Amino acid sequence: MTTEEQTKLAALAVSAALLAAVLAPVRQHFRENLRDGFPLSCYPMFNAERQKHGFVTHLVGYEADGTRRILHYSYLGTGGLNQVRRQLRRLALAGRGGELALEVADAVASRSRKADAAVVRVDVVTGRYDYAQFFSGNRTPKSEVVHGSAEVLRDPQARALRAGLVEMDRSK
Amino acid sequence: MNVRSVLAGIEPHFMPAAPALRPAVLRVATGLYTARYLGRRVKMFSRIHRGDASMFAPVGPCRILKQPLPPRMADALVWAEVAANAAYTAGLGYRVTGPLHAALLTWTLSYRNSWSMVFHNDNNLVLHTAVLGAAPAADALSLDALLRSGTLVPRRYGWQYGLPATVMSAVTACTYLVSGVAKVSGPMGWKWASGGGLRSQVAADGLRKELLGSHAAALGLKLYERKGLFTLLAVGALVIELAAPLALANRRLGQAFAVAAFGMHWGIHAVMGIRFRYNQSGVMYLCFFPVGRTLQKGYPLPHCNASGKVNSLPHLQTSVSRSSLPH
Repeated sequence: MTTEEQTKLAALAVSAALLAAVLAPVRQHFRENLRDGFPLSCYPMFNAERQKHGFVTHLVGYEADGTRRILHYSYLGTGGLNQVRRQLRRLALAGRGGELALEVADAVASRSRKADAAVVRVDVVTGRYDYAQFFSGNRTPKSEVVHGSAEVLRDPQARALRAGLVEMDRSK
Repeated sequence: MNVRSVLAGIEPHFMPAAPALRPAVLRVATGLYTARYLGRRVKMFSRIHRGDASMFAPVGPCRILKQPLPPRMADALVWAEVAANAAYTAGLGYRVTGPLHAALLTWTLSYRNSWSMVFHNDNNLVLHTAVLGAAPAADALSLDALLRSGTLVPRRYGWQYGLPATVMSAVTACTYLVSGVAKVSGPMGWKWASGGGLRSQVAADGLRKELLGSHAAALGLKLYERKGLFTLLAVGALVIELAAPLALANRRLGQAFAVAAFGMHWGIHAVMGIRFRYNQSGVMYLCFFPVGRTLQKGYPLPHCNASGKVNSLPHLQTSVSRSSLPH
C-alpha cells in the first residue's frame, strides 16, 4: 500500500469513528437512567412522557390588593429562559425556595421595572396546569406548591439590613 | 477483495477529488457564524461563569472538572476561543489554529452547557468545526494560501478536499437520525407520529414560556386545537429524521433533505418559538451544496509542488480550470 492509500484509510477510519460516536448516544434510550451529553446528545426532550398537564416552577409577584403577576425569569439570572428554568426548579426542589424568593424580591425592588412597580411580595412556586385550560384562557393552576416567599423592600437600607440578617443566620 | 479495490469503490462517492475551495467555503461560513454567535454572547457567558456553583453539571469534555473553573480563567478561555476563531476564519496558521479552534469551541460551548441545561442546537456547529479543524480547509480563501501560493484560490485538487463535506453531511444526517430514534423509542413509540407528542411538546414549551414571563409562539397556540395538522407535522418530522441517512445516497437526495430540514426548523420556530440558530442560518446545510466540480474517477489529478502551485497536468498539458474539468 502506498503512503497516500494509508492516509486515505486513516482518514476514513477517523471519519467512521466520529460517526459512530455521534450515533452512540442512541443506546441511552434503551437504558433506565437516560444521560444526556454534549456535543454527543441523545435528545432526551423528545423521549419524555407527555401528559395533559404540566408542572412549571416559576416566580409570582403579588400586589397589595392580591393581584397576581407572573415575574420575568431574568430576575433570577442570565443564560436564557430554559437554563434559568432548570436552575430554578433544581434549587426550589433542593429546599432553597426562600433564598431564591429573597433574591428575586431584592431584584424587583432594585430594578424598578414599571410593570412590577406595585409588587409587594414574591413567591417561588411550582404549579400544575392543564394545557387545554391554560391555552383557552384560564391561567389558574390546578394546584400550587409555594417553595418560598419574600417581601419586596423598596427601601435600600431595609434591604441591606435584611441581607445582613440573612447572612448572620446562615453563618450560625 | 483487497484494500485497494475497496478504496477505489468508496473514493468517488465519499472522498472525491475536489477543489481546495470546497472545504474553504465551509470554513469561512462556519467561522463567520461562530464569530457572530460568540461575539454576541461573551458577556452572557461571563455572567454564567459567575453563577451558583451548585448548578454546575459538567457535560462533554468538561466532565474532567469536579467544580467550576475560576470565572476569570473561564472568561480567558472564551476570549482565547474568539481569537482562535478569527485565525481559523482568516486561515492563518491553520495547522495549529484549525484544531485549536475546534478544541476551544468544543470546550467553550460544553462549559456553557454545563450549567443545568444542554443547548442541543450547538451540537452540529461543534461537530462540523471539529471536522473542518482537522481537515486541510485553509488551502484556499486564506492568508496561508495567499502567503504560500500568492493567490486566494490556488488550483489544488485532492480527495482530502472532498472528504470534509461528506463527513459533515454524514454527521448532520446522524444527528437527525438520533433525534428521530429518540422520538419513536420513547413511551409513545410509533404513536408519536399521531402528533399527540408534538402537540404536548408545543403545549409544554408554551406553558413554560408564558409562566416564566416570556411569550409562547402565537401560531402554536392558534393551531393547538388542530390535531390533524400536528399529525401531519409529526409524520413530516419523523420522515425527515429517520430517512436522513438516505441524504448520503446521492447529491440530489442530500439537497432535498437539507431543504426539508431547513424548512422544518423554520416551521418549529414559527409554531414553538424555538430558535435553532445554526440550522436556521443555513450554514449547517452548506455541506450538502459543495462548491466546485469533482474530478471524475480516473481523471488525472493536477500535480502540485511543495508550495501548492500546479506544476503540470500529465494529460491536459494545461492548468486546471473549471472549463477544463469534466461536467
